[in-house]
Amino acid sequence: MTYLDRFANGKGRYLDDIKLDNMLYMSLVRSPYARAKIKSVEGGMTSRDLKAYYAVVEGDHREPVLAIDEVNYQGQAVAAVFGKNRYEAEDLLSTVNVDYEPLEAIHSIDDAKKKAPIYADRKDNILSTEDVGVKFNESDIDYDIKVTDTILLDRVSANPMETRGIVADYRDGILNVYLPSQSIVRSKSGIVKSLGLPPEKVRVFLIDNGGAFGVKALFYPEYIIACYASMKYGKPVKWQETRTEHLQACHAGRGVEGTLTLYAKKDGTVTGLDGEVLLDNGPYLVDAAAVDLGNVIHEVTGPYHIEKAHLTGKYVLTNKAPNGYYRGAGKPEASILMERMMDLLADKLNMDIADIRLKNALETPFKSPLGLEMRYPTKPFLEDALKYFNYRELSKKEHVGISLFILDEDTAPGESARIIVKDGKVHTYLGGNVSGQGHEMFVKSILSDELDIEQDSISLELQDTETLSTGVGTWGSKSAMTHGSVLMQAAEELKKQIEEKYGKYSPEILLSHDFDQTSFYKFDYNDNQVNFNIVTSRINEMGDFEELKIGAYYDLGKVLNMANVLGQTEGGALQAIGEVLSETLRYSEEGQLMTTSITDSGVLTADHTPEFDIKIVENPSVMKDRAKGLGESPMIGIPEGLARSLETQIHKRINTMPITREFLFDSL
Amino acid sequence: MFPDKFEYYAPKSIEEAAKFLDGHEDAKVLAGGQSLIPLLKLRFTSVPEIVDIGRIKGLDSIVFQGSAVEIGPMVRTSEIGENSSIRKKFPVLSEAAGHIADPLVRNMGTIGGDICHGDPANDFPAVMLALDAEFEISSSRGKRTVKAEDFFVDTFATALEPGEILTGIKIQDTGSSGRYMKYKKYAGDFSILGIAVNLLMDGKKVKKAGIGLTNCGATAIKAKDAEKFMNGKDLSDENIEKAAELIVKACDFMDDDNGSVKFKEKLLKNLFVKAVKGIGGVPK
Repeated sequence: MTYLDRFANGKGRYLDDIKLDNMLYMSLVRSPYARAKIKSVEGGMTSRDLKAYYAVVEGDHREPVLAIDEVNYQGQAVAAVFGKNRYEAEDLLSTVNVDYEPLEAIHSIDDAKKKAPIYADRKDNILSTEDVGVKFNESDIDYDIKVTDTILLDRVSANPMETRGIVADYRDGILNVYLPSQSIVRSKSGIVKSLGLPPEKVRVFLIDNGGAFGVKALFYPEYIIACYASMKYGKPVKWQETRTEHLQACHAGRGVEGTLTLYAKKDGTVTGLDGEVLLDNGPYLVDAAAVDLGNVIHEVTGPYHIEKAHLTGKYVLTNKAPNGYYRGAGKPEASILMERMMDLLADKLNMDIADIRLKNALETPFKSPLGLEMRYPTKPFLEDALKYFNYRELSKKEHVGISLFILDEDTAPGESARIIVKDGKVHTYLGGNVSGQGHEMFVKSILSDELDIEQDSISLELQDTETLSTGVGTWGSKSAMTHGSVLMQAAEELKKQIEEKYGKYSPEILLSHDFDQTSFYKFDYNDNQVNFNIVTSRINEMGDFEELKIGAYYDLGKVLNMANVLGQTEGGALQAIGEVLSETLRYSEEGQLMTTSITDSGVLTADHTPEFDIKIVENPSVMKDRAKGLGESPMIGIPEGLARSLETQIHKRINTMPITREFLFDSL
Repeated sequence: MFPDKFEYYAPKSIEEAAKFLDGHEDAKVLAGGQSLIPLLKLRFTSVPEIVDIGRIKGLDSIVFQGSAVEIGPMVRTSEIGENSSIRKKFPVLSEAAGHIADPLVRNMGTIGGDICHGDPANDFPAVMLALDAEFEISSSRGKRTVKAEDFFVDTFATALEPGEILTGIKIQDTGSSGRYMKYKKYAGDFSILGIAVNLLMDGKKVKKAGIGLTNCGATAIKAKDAEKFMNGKDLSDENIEKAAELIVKACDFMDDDNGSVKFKEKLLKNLFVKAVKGIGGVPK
C-alpha cells in the first residue's frame, strides 16, 4: 500500500478503527464549572478508586487524573463510566451525580492579577517565577529612546484532525497500549510512572496518527484512567475524545502576554531589553509550561544582538485547561513579541522596518544575554532575503510585513532507529513518531541512496516499545535532522556489518540475508538557523482579503524531500494566518468555554490559503544528513508579518492575537 | 455521533407523516439534517421520534406557475443556488443560497429545514421576509397558509404547531430584484449578520421594498418601517441613509462574541448600502 493510498484514500488504521473483543468504551463526567468544590460524587469510577497524578514533574498542585474534592477548570475529569459501546457509555454519564459548590473562577491572565489566589498556600495567582539575563539600571545603558508595549497572544487549541485517544488492553499480565503519539517511548514512561508499574509490564504500540501539533507529545489524565480501567476490568478500554472535549480539556497552547521595553539609540541600535512575560498556565503544574515559557524568555532576542537583556517569566494560575504544546511551543511567541516590538520601534524612529532589522542583525554568530547561542550570522541572511523578494521596490507598492527569526531545533540528545532486513525487505523503525508529516518519503529516499536499493523494498513501520525501546520523539522541528542522520548512521553501520561478514557490501547481499541494526545518533545540543518571512496583503473596506501573499525564505540545510517541505510550509502558513485572524479559545467571565466547536474556535478553511513564494536555500547544517528544521518556522515567522501588513492598512497597532472582525472593520 | 436513542420513521406520503405526527407531539421532522443532526450529536437536544420526510415524493420540486414560483421544502440549498430561473427572477434567493455554509452542507441542507429551524442566524428566513413569501403548512387537520412575516416567532420557534409540516413555499414574481449581503467571521459560515434587500422599481422610484435581516435579533426580522419609508421614494443617498437608520432601529442587537452593538449597527448600515447599490449587479 503506498503512502498516498493509505492516507488519502482512507486506508489508515487510526485509533477509532481499533476494535477488540469485549472492548469497553470510556466516557468522562467532566466539570461543568471552571472552579468548584465537589461536595459529593455518586456513581462511576472516581478518585476514590484511582488516586494518581499524570505529570512527570514533581511539585505542588499537580492535577489528579480524577478530581479530588475540587475542580479547577471546565472539562476537568471527575468520574469515568464504561459502556459496551460508545452510545451506552454516553448514556451512562447521566447515572453519575456530582454535587458542586461553584467558586469564583479566573478566566484570563488579567483576571488572575485582580482576583484572590485560587490556592490557599499562595499569596497571589503566580505558580512560579523565573528570571533570565541580568537585571540592569536604565542609567547603565546608552539609549535615546525607549518603547514599551504589552502584547497578548491568546490561547489556541491544536485541533489536529484526529483528536486524542487511547486503547488500553491488559491481558496476560501485560498492559498493551495503542496510542497515536509523537513519542511512544515517552508515553510509556508516563504510564509506568503514573501507575507505578514495572516497565517490562507495559508495551505501547504506535498506530496511525491523524495529526498532533504538540498535543500528542503530552500526557493526560484520560490515558491513565483508561489504562487503570483495563487492568481493573480485565478488558480492553477505548477512549476517543470528542471535538468539544478537545477544546475544553486538551492542554492548550499560546496564552502569553509580554510587556517589553526596548531601549535604543537614534540610529535604531537596540541596546537593552527588559520586561515580563506571563503564561496562562491553567490551574495545575504541567510539564509543558516550563518548555513553553522557557522558550519565550530565552529566545526572545532572536536574531538580534542586544547587549543588555533581562526578562521575568511568570506562570499565572487560571481556571482553564492546563497549558500545553502547540506547534512552536514558545518559539513563535518569542519571535512575535520581538518582531512586534521592532516594528513599534521603527515607527517611533520613523525608520524602515527592514533597516531597523539590518541594524540589529549580526555578521557573526553570537550569544544572547538571555542564554541563546545563535550559531549562524543573521545579517547576511537578511540581506539576501530582502534582495530575493525585491523588498525595496515591493515596500513602495504593497502593504508589507516582514520577520527575521531564528528556529532553535530541539536536536539534543539525538535519535534512534532500527533497520530490520528480512525476506528481501528493509523495515525501518524510528525513535520519534510520525503524525502526518510524511516521514516515509525521506526514509525511503535516504535508505535508497545509502544502501543503493529500490525505494519499493523499503518501508517505514509502526513500531512499539519492544521493537524499539529507545527513542526521543517528533517535535521541535528536528525530525528530518535527527531521523535523517540516524538513518544514515544506521545504514553505514549496517553496511559495515555486511562488510565484516561478507568482505564487501552489495545490495544483493543485503536483500538476500537477514540483518538487524539498531543505532543511536547522538547530538548534544540544540542546533539553530535563521529564517525570513514576508507577507503582503490587501483588505477591502469591509476587512475581507482581496489579496494575501506569503513569502518564505527558509534555510533548510539540505532538502530531504521537497513535497514534505512545501506541505509543511503551506499548512503551517494557514495555521499562522488563523492565529492572527480567528483561532482562539474564548472564555466567559465565569470561565466557561465559549468556543465549543471547531468552527467557533476559528480554524480556517482552505479558502484562506494564501498565494506562496517559497524560496528554499541550502546552507548545510552540522548534522550528519546536513538538514535543518522546518516544522515550526511558518508559525514563528508569519503571524507578525501578517499583523504588520494589516497594521499599515488600518493605521492601528496590532498587539493582540487574534484580532477580531470588529477591530479590523472599525479601523477601516 | 452519539445521540440519545430515538425512533426513526420514514413515511412515504405527507398524509402518512401527518398521521404519525398527530399522535407523537414530541416527534421532530428531519429534512436535510444539517441543523437537527448536529444538535442531536452534541446531545444539546434529544427527541423520542424522528420523522424523515426525505422519502416523500414531490417535496423537492421548483415549479413556476403564472406569476409565482412554488418551491418544495426538500429542495436542496445547492439547487436553489444553481437554478437558473431562480437566479434570474429572485437573485436575492440564489445569492443567499450560495453563502450558506459549505458545498457539503448545501448539498444536504434544504430550504424548508433552514426556514423551520427558526435559527435567527440562518439565511433563508430573511430572504423569505424580503420576498413576502407564503408558506403552505399541512397536518392531519388539513392545510393552511402562513405569511413569512407571521412565521418567525422566536429563537428556534416558528408558527408551526405540533403535528404540522411545511409543505410548500410560494413567492410572487413581480419583476423585482435584490441582493443578499452577509458578513461572516473569517472561520465558519454563520453570519455575524446578513441582510436581504429586494426592490420593485417604478422608474427611478421604489414601488415596493422588501427587507429581511439575519441575526439581528431573536428571529429573522422584517424591517417594515424601512420598507414603508422607501416605498415611493428614489434611491438618493439621503433616502438610503434614512432607511438605514430605520433598519437599525428594527434590530435587537446584543454585545456578544461577534462584536459590540455599535459595530453591528455600523456594519448593517454598510451592508444595506452595498445591497441597495448592488441591485442588478452580478453577485460574487
